[in-house]
Amino acid sequence: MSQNTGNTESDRTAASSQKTESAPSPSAPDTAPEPLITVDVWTDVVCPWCYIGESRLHDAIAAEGLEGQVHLRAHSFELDPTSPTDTVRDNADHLVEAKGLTLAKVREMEAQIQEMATELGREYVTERPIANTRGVHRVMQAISAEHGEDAATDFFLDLQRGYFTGTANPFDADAVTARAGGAGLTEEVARAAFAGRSHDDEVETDVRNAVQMGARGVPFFLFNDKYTAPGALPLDAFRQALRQIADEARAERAQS
Amino acid sequence: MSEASGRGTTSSSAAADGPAPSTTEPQATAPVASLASLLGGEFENGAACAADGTCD
Repeated sequence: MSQNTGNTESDRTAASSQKTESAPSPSAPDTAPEPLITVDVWTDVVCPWCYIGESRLHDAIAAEGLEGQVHLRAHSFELDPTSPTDTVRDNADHLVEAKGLTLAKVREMEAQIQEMATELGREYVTERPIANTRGVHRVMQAISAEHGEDAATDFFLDLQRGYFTGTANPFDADAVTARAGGAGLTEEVARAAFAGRSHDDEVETDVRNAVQMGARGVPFFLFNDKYTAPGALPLDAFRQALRQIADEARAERAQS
Repeated sequence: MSEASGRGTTSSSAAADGPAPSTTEPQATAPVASLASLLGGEFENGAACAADGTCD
């Protein structure tokens, strides 16, 4: 993986190309420099602030000229483990009934986030399905176990973007299985994970790690295993953080 | 929109070498500091969805 807070098909193509080109050939020494910055993000597929935060992070990376220097890794965090596992509902109806919000309040919140997404040049659909996300997290963990964290991150963040743009349903077993297949997972393994027969421990470990670092919600960011930041930071804050952490990393490398 | 990815980021060398085990997680027990300690000034946390599922 890497990546992705990106947002266009051409970006995806570019990312794929980079990956292919950067793969070491059998005879070539691995001279690819390590990224300056690692960003771990705890996220859930249905989390609108995660979508906004990851988009801002992506834009900040580009604005700071740090393309290719930031390694992004997604980690599991269940936003609402109590969400139903056996039914898929309309998100607004769920928030009204489960959280006691008025429909007007839900629509107001959604409109605000949609406006922010629009300002970032991202689509954001306000009518979305909602259900328990544990299955998707298990599939991401299965991909990580078999094909690495980068493939897992790509799978998860692509699915999240698809959810918020109305092009993917993370609660549809067939759709998730097909996407997992694109990440290299066999249908059998993907369906087993989605259905709950594997990888619960890894999901819970991810959540526990975040909580131990102070996470009380998502998104939750960790920069270079040193600095934590809860929430979708403003673009300028992401830029300042990346700039200073990159400077710090360069200084450390110069000393070593 | 359809999305994409990867612009601005890169794969780790570990990924290039093959699948990374899930144990390559960040060190949860390692000492960490708030980003505020680095940025100082007027740093404020960003908006987030709480663990109870609310995102207001």
